[in-house]
Amino acid sequence: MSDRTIILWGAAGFGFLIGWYVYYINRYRKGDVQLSDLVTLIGIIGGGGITALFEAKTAMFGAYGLGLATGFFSYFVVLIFMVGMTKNFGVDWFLDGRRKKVADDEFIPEYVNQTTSAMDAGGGANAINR
Amino acid sequence: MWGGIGIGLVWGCLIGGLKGVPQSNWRNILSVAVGTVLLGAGIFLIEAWRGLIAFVIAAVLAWLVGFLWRSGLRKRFATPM
Repeated sequence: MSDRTIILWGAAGFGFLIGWYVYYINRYRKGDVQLSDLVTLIGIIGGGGITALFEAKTAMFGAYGLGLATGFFSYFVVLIFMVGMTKNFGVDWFLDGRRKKVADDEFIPEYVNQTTSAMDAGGGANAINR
Repeated sequence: MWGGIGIGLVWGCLIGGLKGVPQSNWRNILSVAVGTVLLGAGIFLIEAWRGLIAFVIAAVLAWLVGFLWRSGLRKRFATPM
């Protein structure tokens, strides 16, 4: 494997990590769009800027961008996979966050973050009935 | 160009996901506008016009696919509470 190939894979892997993390941040965002969301965006571009400092800047930025998208959507694919595996969530969770109640012998610790909205496109469950 | 496509796809999905959160619209619009300008400027500096155009097309495409995915999913699977 040549040095150039390793560098490109490195940039793609870097993008993958950030893409994964962007999905994570967006999933646990506290409702409203805040300044921290813009800071995240600047981080995305900043990450791309770091790869642009190297010699083959266009190819590295391309690898970074593709890695970013792959990481972002991989999170979603893993989510679909896990929702499919468990009996506690159905496809409705993607639409309005619906889930089964916690069983008597189970609990959710207080420090666990709750998602604000799954993939609700507005209106929630009430919109379905319209 | 590929950097613009990758970032555009992610950005389009993020914009599409904003709609469901109850909040004041002007704040959403402002955040999206500022974010788009920042990202567009950064991509333009690194990848010039081709990257910028690719970014815009990818963002619109991702937003559209996300919107159709959600509405399609709702029509097909959603059961009333």
